[in-house]
Amino acid sequence: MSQLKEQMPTIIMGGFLLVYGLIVQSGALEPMAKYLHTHKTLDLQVTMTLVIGCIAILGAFVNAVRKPGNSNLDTFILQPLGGIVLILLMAMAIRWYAEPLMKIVSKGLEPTLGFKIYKVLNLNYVVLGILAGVLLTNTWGIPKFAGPGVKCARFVLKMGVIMLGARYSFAELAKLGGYSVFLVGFFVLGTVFLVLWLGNIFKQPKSMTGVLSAGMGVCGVSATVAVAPVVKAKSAEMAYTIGTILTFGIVCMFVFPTVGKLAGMSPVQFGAWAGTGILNSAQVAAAALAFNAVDIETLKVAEIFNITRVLFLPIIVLVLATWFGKETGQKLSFKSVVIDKFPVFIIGFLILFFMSSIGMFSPPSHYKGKYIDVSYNDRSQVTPEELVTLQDAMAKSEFSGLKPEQLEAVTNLIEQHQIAGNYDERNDKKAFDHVGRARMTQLQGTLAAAKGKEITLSPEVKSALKHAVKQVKKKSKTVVTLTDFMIWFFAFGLIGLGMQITKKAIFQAGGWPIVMGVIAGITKAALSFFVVLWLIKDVVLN
Amino acid sequence: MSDKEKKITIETGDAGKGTTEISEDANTEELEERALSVFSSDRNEDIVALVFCLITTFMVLLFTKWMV
Amino acid sequence: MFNNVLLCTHGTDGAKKAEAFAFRKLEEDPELKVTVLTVLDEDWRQMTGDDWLNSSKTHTTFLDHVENQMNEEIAEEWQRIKTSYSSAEQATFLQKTGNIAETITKAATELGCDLIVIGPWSKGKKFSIHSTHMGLRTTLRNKNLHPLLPCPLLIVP
Repeated sequence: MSQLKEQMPTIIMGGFLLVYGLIVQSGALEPMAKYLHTHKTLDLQVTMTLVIGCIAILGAFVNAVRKPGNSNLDTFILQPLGGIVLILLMAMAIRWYAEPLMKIVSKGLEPTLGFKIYKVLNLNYVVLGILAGVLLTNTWGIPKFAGPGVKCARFVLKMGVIMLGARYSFAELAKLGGYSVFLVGFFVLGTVFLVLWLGNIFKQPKSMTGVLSAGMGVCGVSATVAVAPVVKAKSAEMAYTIGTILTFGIVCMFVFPTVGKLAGMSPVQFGAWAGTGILNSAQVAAAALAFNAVDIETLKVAEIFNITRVLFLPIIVLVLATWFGKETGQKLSFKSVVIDKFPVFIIGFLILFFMSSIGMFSPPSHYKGKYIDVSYNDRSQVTPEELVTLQDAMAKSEFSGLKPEQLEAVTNLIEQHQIAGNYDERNDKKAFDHVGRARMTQLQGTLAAAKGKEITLSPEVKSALKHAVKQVKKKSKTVVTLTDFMIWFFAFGLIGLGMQITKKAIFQAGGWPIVMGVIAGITKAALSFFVVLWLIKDVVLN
Repeated sequence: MSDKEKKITIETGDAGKGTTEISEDANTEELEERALSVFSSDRNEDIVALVFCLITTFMVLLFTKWMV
Repeated sequence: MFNNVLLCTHGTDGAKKAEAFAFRKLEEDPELKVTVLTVLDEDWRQMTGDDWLNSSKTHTTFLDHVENQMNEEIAEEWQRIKTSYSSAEQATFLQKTGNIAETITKAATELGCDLIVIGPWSKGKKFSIHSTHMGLRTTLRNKNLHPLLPCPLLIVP
């Protein structure tokens, strides 16, 4: 009976998900979803809630009946189930309700405030999710039933990073890798030396500057945790340093995207800046997604920088160990630090990257999962209303200013209801494609001419032409689905990690570390801002 | 199956403590409390993450590319 | 009046007041049993924050280091107490790990103490860059401590 009681939260969550899924399926929530602009996700909502709800209830009942054991099933599925469902529930609530509501509210507040809150603070679902996680931990605490599930956050985040590998091409990775090794290397070493030098000036013990330099230089708390035993840091030094870094990181998560948007940084520039300037690696991902949550360009760049830093971590540990070891006489070998600590999940990232390079997800002719499809397809057609608009415009000879090729393309569009090749040539795929693409180019030229005021077209006609062009530009379903998975993984992981930030840890900030840390952190953020703006001018990914 | 046995051995290495200490039941709880994830070792976690990702990728490819 | 006193200290200014009080009493009444308790805060586990890059092994190494380091610092602390108060030689020294309020009350129950002595909450200097304490900064809240108390609590002003 007590076992059943323990499972109640999971059963309630599962039941809620099931009921919600059924209500959505009945269509009762459609008006509200339209109001929230989430109606496109309704199908996904039904599938996700029903599947997760069923698993939750089934698992909870198994847990309630079965004697808790020590098997793999217990450790990996049954025990963490409650926490996993909780995080998923939070992620879904935030993605489908909190974020859209936030947008609507801040739009409503715009006249009084003069700006949109969600735009300035970048309160998209990733940031909201982390905030929700932090809030939950610091108010009620992580519920007991969710404890083991929250531990899965790291695992899921790793999956996100591995999946991200599928989105790079060789050229991108080579170019970004070059930049990141250069920038990260420069700033990591620069900050480490800056902190060591500051420590020297302020006459602080080596153990403290050792911990702080690693934390400020490489990847925040992770580096502090890795370095503290090596440099034999004192307890207060560790507490101060970790508190400082956590506080700094949370501030960065909000300041970076806002500054980046104010400065008009491109996604690539911002990714590079966040990847260099932000300390904690989870917060790098968070800031990148805060800057741009739909298009993952920023995340792609930031993660490359992140991975570069991860690879730098063992090297810094080794350097600091040598530097510190001179006095204590202890030695760390290259193998024990670098090879034993090599993160295996990066190999996974490379495997998916390799699969993507050989064109498994989208053929080489596709650009980043987007491609042009001019074959006959109902979904490529313009709407009947648009067709009437175009016919009317043609009858009123609105297209008289067009070049002959452009006119031919418009005429053919009206004839075939979509951009396509010649009907007679439909069996010769190459020729058909060629003609179709040429027509699309002509229509784009027409739109450009209209934009440049060389010719005048009515807004309705322009929108109809735009729609026709848009209809043949397809996104690879594979790439879109993979990206969706990845974003959910990141959201899950970041919410779970947010739950591990306690206010007690944050309030440990203080002492000399806060002085030296703030100096070093701001210097690093400011310098890398200018270096990124100066170095990465062009859009590297094109 | 020596699965259970094996798991405990890995956990020992993970904690950086002696095997004898761990084979006693009393300590495993503390270790598990301390561990960061549900996995018994970091390497296991990475490998499982990789396998999961490959399965996900395969399913996505199957439903969006090969079966369409 | 009291025979068995549990003195909780971790070396802050407030706690030093409690020490002074307890050892003065001990000097007055050599029959008194004083146990000095220093608690190692279990919240060190949360200090790894949202770190996800390190393996569990690195985390364990970190926590082991914290434990060793704290043991060293606590030993130093006890040494300081012993040198400052001559009567401290008669006291028993005890170190425990866990949630502070729970550990204090649990230790008091186990030892059969009839008085717990702690220092007052002292408002630290607004900003100090010199570390005067060891371990984590934390405040013992009445709300958490009082429901657990097995015996009277004396907060030395």
